[in-house]
Amino acid sequence: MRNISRSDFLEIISGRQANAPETDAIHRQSATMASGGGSMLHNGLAPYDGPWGGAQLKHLLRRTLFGFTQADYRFFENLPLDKCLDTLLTPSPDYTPPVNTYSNSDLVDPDAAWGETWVHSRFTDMGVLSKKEAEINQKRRDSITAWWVGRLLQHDRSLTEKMTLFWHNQVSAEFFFIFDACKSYKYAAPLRLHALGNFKKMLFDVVTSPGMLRYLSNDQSTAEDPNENLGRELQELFTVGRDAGTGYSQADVMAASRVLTGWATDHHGDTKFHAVIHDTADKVFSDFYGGKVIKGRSGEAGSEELSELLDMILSVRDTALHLSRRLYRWFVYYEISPEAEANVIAPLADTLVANDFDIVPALRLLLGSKHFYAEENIGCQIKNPIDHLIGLSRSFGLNDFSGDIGKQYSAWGSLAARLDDMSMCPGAPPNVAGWPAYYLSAGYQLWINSNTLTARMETIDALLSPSGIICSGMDTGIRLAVLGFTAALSDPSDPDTLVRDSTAFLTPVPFSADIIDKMTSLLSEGGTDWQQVWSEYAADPQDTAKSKLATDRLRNYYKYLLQRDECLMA
Amino acid sequence: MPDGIRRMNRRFFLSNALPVSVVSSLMLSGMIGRSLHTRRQSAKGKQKVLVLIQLDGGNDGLNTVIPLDQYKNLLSARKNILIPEAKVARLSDSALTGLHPSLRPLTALYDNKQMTIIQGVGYDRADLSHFRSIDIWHSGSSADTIPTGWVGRWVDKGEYVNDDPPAIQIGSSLPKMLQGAGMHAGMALSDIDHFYDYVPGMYDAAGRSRQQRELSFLHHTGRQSRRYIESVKIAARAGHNSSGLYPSQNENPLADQLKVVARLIAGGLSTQVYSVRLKGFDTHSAQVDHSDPSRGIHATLLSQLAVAITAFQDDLALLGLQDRVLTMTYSEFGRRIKSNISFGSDHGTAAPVMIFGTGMKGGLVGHNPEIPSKVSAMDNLDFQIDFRSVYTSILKDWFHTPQERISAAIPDTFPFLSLF
Repeated sequence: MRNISRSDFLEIISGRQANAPETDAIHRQSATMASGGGSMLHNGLAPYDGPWGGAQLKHLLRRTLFGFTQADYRFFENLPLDKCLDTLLTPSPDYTPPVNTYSNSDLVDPDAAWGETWVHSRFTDMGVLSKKEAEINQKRRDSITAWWVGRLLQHDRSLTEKMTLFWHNQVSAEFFFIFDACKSYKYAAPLRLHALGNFKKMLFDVVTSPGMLRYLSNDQSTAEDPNENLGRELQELFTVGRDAGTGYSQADVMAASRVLTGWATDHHGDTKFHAVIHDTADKVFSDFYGGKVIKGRSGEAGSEELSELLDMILSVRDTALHLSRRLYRWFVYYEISPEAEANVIAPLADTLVANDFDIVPALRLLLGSKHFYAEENIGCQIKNPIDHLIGLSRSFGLNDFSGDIGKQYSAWGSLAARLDDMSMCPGAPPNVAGWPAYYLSAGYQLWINSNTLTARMETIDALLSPSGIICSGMDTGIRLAVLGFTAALSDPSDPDTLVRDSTAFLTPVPFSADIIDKMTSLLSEGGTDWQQVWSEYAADPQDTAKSKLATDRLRNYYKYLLQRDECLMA
Repeated sequence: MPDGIRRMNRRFFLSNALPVSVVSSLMLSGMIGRSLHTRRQSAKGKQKVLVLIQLDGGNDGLNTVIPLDQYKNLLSARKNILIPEAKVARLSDSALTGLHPSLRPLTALYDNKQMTIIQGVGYDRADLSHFRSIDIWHSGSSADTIPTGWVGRWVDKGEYVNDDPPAIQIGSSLPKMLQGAGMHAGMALSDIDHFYDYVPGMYDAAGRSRQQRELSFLHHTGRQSRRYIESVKIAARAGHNSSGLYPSQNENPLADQLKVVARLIAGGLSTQVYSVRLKGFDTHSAQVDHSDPSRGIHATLLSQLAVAITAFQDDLALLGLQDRVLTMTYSEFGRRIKSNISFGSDHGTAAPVMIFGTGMKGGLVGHNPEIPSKVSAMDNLDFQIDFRSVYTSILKDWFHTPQERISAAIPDTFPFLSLF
């Protein structure tokens, strides 16, 4: 047994030099790019005109929806790319806000009866809460988190939810620190309202939402003593960014903070511009913003300065470039090669600017481009936890709780807790910068460590176990509907076809013949061959014993398949 | 970052019943790496250990280690948050420097030379962004971001002959500090009493496409996790805590984490670096109570720190481990000299680093910062000691790391501090 240094080991396993330090991967040309797929980059954002088949369609659906069902696939199957995009880029219809499913004889929400929404309550975190009030707030916070998971599970064939989450990651806030669940809802609602709308409008609404004003302490900022928190993050994270070469100054942070003074809440927790604490002096910005002066205004007119501030920030090219890079990392890959920077990021930024930051034209351009469908970019994402868990749940379908809203929220809440174990629960990003997979150079690999990987595997196991994921107040746990999913495949009775169809549906990565054989044999493991098991079940689906046998076989097979690394990819 | 409120347990839902873990009968073959690792060997249980405590959000250094000789000027700069002079915890060897009253329990360690305070730690051209600044501290470089961490690079150059993780983060995600080249240099660990068993796939993508690169990462991380989990399980079972000073579970998040660290070290794990985190130091508002600046969010956090350190050091002593473990605090930056009207403080620059353990010279390193008589809202402290001086001094004199390996962790040279 010889000792081996870790760097030797790393070289052996990765074929890469473990010499440190390298420069930033975001702007680093990877070995991959240099050796492999250079040519497709030159096509950049030109409209994709190659073959339009199952591989390309599945790629589009994997990146734009949280999982897709076989019915979704059939819906899109015969549509050309531009028609697919028409559907995907149409906003989802209106939705019901979160409702009270937590009241009981011990805990009554004074503002919302059972089944009614609590989001319009006049409940604030000014002053000290009684134990009861704190408990109700906690229930509401659970309610909004569960509800968000419900929105994800129930989304239609639109990018609305995917973009809502994108904006949540871009203009991030944590429900825990916002504290008041009503304010959390008011922070989250504009993310969804403008999901496929205009960036500036979304930004204005979110920045002035009671949730964000609380989260970044702007409700404590006054002319006499401006608080820099929101003024800084507005530039550093929400808009301009800190990509290489970007140069707003500390003085710009202060000037923006002074523009923002006065934006706070009233005693009901609704947004209110308080003219008396607004800084009415002129705000002078650095050369980065062309030495722009925002004229100080008194009275209600002071609130008009914010729109001017956002216009100024959005007029610098770095903002459009930064947003383009964020879209790229969300939809394509986490490394941006110099070629992609020139041929994808730059023209995408031009499109954002030309459309006054309406997001749909930029999305249409990116998702319809040669670059997006380049072979190199297909199946190269490690799914984030929401893509993974919600995607599986939607693709297979879960056992049906739709008749009982209390059970629905309980089930959604249990999935939210699982997502939290995997480090990506809506409303709970690690901090105001959002999830690091989208800004640190290690990218999607940051989703995976011993802890989160185990949480994913354990959740798959639970979803495929007889008891399922147990939820409070329910006798049946959450399970993947393996029978229904399998029945919709082209020929479920033939094990070869079943494996071929289901693997092609669930992962973009092809399997070797050995693995295919292994999986096929799993279906017949335990005596009776699969063909017979399925035929007997199909002939008499109501027979408990026959359905149990088929279910057990399928669970065994899907567990093996879904716990494989290939099924973590999109 | 939001104001500091003590982070509560984020498992807000009723915990789910766990399915019975079933280890699949499908066994592995051809496991790369297995031959490189033998289990249990003689060096185990002798390694020196470094525990890094991140005070997350930017700790107010001026209210942590208080320069009493600057008190008059501090009073004009930050009257609403300044600790009343009479309440400052005094150090036996210095009339000019004191501690926040919440840190009073630590003065006994200080007086016994089991605590070193390094003043004014930072770096040139301080960055006031949380995310850039912690990136600089974690990567060990001010250059535009670097994908690996200083501990990760140190680990990459190490010799590892068993399956114990070289570094552990207590919590659910790994910081950049523990990122090695191409692979994680450690494991993230959130619960040492429950582990799920599964068998990672046997496929190893050999190619160089983006897809194969990510698959290869997944493959190796899965294998790595299995090995680490087996080691940690054994250590968690073998180890225990001896101190009765730990608060009860969920009362003090830092104490909970350090308790796990002590148990794993006691259990014989040969991990050399543990990373833990106390969140909530971004005190833009309500850093102190309006009526009493010695109370409030910051006081609570520092009290958690003091209680946790006291219990941890006591535990290590009772377990006979006190000479093997060095513990260090750090934060992405200190806070502004001038306070704000919200009884808080905005982002600042240099701040003290605290080190705990035996065998040190102890005392104060560096001098008190100088506070001007007139302080503007933008004024910040100059740094005295580069944070990389602290890192490299610990690598050199605590771990006895050869210079070549130190240079791999921190490529540039910084003056060594004589801490031991």
